[in-house]
Amino acid sequence: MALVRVISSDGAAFLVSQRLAKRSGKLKTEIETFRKSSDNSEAQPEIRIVTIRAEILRLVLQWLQQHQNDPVLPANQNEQDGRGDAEMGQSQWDRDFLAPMDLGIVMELILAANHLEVKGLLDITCKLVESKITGRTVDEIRTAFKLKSDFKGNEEEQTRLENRWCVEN
Amino acid sequence: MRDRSSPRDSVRTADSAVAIENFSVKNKGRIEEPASFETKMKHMEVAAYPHFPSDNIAEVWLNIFDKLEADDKITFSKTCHEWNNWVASRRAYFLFSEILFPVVHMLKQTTNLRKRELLRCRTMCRSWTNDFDRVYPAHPSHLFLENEIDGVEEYEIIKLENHFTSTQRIQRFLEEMHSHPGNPFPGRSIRFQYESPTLEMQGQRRAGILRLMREYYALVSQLLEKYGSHLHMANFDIYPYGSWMEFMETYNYFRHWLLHIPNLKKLVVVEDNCHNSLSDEFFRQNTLPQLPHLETVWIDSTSHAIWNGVLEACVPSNVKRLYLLSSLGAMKHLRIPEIAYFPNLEAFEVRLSGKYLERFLNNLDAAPIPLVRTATVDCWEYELDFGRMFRSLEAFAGSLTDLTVWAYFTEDSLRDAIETEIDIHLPKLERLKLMYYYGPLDPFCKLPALKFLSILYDGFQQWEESSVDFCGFEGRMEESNIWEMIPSLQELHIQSNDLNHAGKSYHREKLQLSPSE
Repeated sequence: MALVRVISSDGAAFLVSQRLAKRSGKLKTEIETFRKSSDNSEAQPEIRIVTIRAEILRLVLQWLQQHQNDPVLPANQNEQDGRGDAEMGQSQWDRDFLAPMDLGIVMELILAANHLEVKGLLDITCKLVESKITGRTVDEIRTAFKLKSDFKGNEEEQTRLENRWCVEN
Repeated sequence: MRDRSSPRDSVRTADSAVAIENFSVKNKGRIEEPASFETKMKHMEVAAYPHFPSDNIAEVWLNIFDKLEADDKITFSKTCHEWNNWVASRRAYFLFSEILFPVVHMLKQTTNLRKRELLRCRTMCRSWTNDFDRVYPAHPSHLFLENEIDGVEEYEIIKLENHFTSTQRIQRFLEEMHSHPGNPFPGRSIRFQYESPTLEMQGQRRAGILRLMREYYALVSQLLEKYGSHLHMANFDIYPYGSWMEFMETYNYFRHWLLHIPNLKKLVVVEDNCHNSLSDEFFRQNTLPQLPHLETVWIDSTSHAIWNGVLEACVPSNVKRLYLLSSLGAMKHLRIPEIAYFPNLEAFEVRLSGKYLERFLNNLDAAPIPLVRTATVDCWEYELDFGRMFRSLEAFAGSLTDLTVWAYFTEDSLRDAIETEIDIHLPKLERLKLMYYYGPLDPFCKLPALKFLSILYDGFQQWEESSVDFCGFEGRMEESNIWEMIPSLQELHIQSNDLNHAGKSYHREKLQLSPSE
C-alpha cells in the first residue's frame, strides 16, 4: 500500500495511505507534484502542513477515514447539482463526531477543511457554526462562542443602527 | 443506517483516532515540547534585558492577547504549545475573521443566510465588530467585474451597501448618525440613486423636480463631507435634469463628491446626458480629482463627457479593472485612452464599435503590456472583421484566460478564417463565451487550453467548409466531433437566442445532457 507522511505544524507525523490522502484536494495535488518531481517512483512523499496543528490534522484524517468510500464532491458542488442541504450528507457518525467539540475546535476544523479542500467536512462544520448563529438570540450566540459583551457606552446600539441602515433600502 | 463505530471511541483511544486502519500516528514523541521562556527570549535576541517577572503567568499574557489585532492574535496562538493552550478558550472569539468567508460561501449555497443574520455577528462583541468591518469589505470580489465572478464560487458573497434613494432617507441617516465617531458603513459601500416622486409633481413638474434634486444633491454632499473618507465603493446614478445650466450644477456637485471620497477603490457612474459637447467643455475647465486608490472603474453612460472626464483625471494608471459601456453616438467624441496607459489592468469589459476597440487596444508595442486575465468585448457593428478582432486580443496572449465576445462578424471574414485556417494565438484561454454567434467553430479548435465553451447561437448557419459538427447537432452535441476537435474541452454550453428554450450543458466526463441552470 502506497503511503504518504503528512506532518502537522507542530511536528507530528501521520502515515496515511495515499488513497485516503487523495480525498483531500490539497494533498492530492501535493502527492501528484511530488510524483512528477521525484525520480524514484517508490519514494514516499512527505507533506508539511504548516497551518494545521496535530490535534486538528488528526481529526481531519479521522473524518476522511470514516468517509473514505463516499463519492468525492467537487469543490463547486451546490444545491443545483442535487446535493442540497449540507445536513443531507451528515450521518449519525458525523453528528457524534462533532458533538463533543468545543466551537473553537470546530472553527479550526473549518480552516483545516478549507485549506486541505475536504468539501464534505467543510460542509458539516460550516453548517454547525451557522446553526449556532441563525435564529439564535444574542445571548445564546455569546454563550455558544464564549463571547463577552465588551461594548462601551452606546457602542452596541450604534452597531445595531449601522446594521439597520445597511439592510434597509 | 447507523454507523457501528463512534468517533468518541476513537478520540478517547490513547493512540488517537488515526490509528484506525489505513494510517497510524508516527513519532508521537516528536511533538515538540514548548520551548522554555528563556529559549524564546534568546530567539528574540533580548537576552541581555532584565528578567521579566511575569514571563510565565498566563493571565498577564492573556491580558496582552486581548489587546492584540486579529492577525496578531492568530500569530500569538501559533507561537508555541504553551501559548496555544492559554488561548484555547478564546479560539471561537479570535478565529471569527478567519472563518467568516468559508462560512459565508458555504451557507450562501445551502441555507438562506440573510444580510440581517450576517450583520448580527457584528453586534456580539467589539472584537467581532472590528474584525468584520476590517475583513468583510476587503473581500476581493467586491471589486470584481461580473465576468470575473461568473462561475467562480469563492467570489460569491453577499453584498453590503447603504442605499440612498431619497432626500428623507439621507436626512434621517444624518440625524441618527450625528454623533457617530467613526465609520457608519459596515460594507464601506454606498449607492446614490435618486427616485423622484413624479406623480406629485404634475403641476409644477420641472421646477419641483429641480428643487428636490438640489436638496438631494446638497444632502449627498453633507453626507460625503462627513463620512466619505470611510468609503471604498461608491455608486452614483446621475440623471441630470433640465437645461445646460442645471447640468453644470449637477457636475459641480459630482466633482465636489469625488473630493470627499479619497480612499475609494471602486467607482460606478451611471449617467444619461444629452448635452455632450458642453459637458466635455465643463470637465476640461473643472478637472475631476484623482482617486489614487481606485482599482475598479465602471462607467455606463450615454455621454462621452463623463468618460473623458473620469478616465483622464480620476483614474490612476495602476487601475486594475475597467468597465466601459457607451452609446454608439457618444463614441465619436470619445478620447479613448490607449490600454497601455494602464499597465496593471487585469480585466476589462468594453462596449465599443470595432473601430474604437482597435483604438482602445492600440499602441501595445509600448511596454509594459497589461496582464489582462478577463476580457469582455461587446461590439455592435455588423461589419466587424473576425480575424482583426481576435488578432488585436492576441496582445494578451500571455495572460488572457477568460473571454466573452458579443459581436456580429462579417460572413467574408468568417469564411476567410476557415479558408486560411486562422490560428488564434491565445494559448492560456480556458473559458470562451460567444454571444449571438453564427460562425464556424473551426477557429477555436487550436486553442490548446480551452476547457469551457459557451455559445449563444443566433440562426446558426451551415458552413460547408467547416469540419466541426454543430448545425443539426444543437440538441445532441454529445454526438458531435467537437470533443475530438477540441481535446481540452471539458464543458460545452449551448443556448439558442430563443429564450423559450432552455440551454443545455454537456460535460466530457458524462457526455450526457444535464439541465442548464
